[in-house]
Amino acid sequence: MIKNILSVNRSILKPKVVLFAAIFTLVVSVAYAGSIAVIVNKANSEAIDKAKLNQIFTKEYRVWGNGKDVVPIDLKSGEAYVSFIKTVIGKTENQVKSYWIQQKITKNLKEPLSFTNAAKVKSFVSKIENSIGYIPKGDVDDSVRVAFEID
Amino acid sequence: MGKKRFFGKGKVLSLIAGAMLLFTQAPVFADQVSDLKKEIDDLSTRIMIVEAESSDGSSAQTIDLQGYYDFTYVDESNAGVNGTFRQHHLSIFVGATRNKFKMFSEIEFEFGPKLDLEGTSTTSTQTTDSAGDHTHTIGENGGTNKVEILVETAWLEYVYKNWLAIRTGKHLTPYGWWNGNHYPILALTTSRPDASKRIFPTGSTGIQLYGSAFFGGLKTAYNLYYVNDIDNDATNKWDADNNKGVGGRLAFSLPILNKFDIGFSALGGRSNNTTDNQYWGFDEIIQVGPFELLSEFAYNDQRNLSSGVRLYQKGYYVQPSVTVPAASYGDVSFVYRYEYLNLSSIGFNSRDKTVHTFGLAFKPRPDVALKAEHNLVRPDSTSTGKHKYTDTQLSVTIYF
Repeated sequence: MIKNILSVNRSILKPKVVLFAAIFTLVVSVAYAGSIAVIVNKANSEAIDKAKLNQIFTKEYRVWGNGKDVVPIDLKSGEAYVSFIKTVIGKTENQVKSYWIQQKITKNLKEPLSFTNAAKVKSFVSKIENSIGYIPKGDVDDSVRVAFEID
Repeated sequence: MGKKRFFGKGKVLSLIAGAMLLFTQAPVFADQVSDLKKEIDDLSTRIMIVEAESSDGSSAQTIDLQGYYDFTYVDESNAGVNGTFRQHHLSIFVGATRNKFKMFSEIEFEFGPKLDLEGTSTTSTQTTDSAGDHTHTIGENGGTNKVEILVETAWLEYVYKNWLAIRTGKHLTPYGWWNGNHYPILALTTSRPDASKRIFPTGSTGIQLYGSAFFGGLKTAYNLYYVNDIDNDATNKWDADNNKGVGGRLAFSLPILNKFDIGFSALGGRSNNTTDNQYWGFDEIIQVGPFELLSEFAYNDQRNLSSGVRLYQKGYYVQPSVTVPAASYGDVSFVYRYEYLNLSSIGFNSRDKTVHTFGLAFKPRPDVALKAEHNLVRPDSTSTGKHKYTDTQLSVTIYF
């Protein structure tokens, strides 16, 4: 049977493989690109928009309306991180690093805490009331509240 | 002989008794398991926090230590020497955060100072105050042998809300862009424009309120401060007179282009019981893609109380630049700056200084900068013996 499969006319098989690969790539890229959920603790009901998100993750907006310090949580690296800083912060990775050097020197403000994967971000945000983070949309569950979505 | 029973009466009874014990204890076990799960959960969270904090040094129980170092080569056409190497800055930043309280300080060592209190130094002076305390001032303004050890900033602040924080101590005067961002790792040129350091006082000691308000993408920020005698660097220990300075800054960050920030600064006060000073300033920074335009304007109206003589000073600079990535090697910036400074005593037409700066900055990584610049200088008439000259400056900086 395997021999039969392998002996299929390659002129028919090749375009199908290419088409399948293209569709797969497109689906994967579309499925990831822009699918980021900004999550907060379930006890946090403060409204978030893109401008405030930028201000939070650049530590310009540092105190929630209830008086508690904002604790933003970053991802250390990866596609979601790169997509987030490009879309929300409007900077490249090097520009973000330069920005935090400037903040540390001029205001003694450090970059946000960061974790290596979405599961840790979600676990932290679900437990720490004044924290806010972002993860791929597909990783969201009911342990956190989705405050904003980035397409 | 009958079949030997594996489960004799005794064993059956034991099993039944064991099962009963197990089932009656099940709720207790379930509670304990639930408690253990919760404890494991809490410990995992703590470990996550510690891991994250220790990886970026943000633990609330640590002292933050950072700094920068730079080395410069300067070749000035009329200096009479074949270029000069300078171990220019070694600055240490020390900070600590305890909940909403934050302390921060910069201690700066310029030009590799050697402090010898037993002997004499051509660059130090000693003064004695009324209490008999001696103060050694290392370094004087001007001169070729200037060295400096300086606590540039040392402050403690409490952040109450986004719109209100209070800061006490010695701080950089909040005006313009360059004064707060004058560090070699942040600036695109080695030299600093005179307009940013010779008109407004660069530092002061006192109390400051500051904060920000957000209206969608628009941010407004303010600073208000009340400080010791503003024209006197030596007032960190004791203000020698009743003169104080009051100042403020209002800044707007508009949500257009990549960046569009403008700021207005003002400062006034009496100094040494002899002069009244009023300072005004404007600054902007605009970024569009790789292009940036940075500029500042500063003005001072100084009136001598006894003679009535007025001293007008003004200065400005305009600095366009473009920053492009250099493949995978880092970022390269091309920068030009025109600066103008007038410290005239009467009118604005005499004693002015102009500088054209052509510069290149290369950052192979965000915490390392290599810079080169060429300056065409027409000095003001306070620079005796100096006519038009050029200088070339090369520097390397590392932030750590």
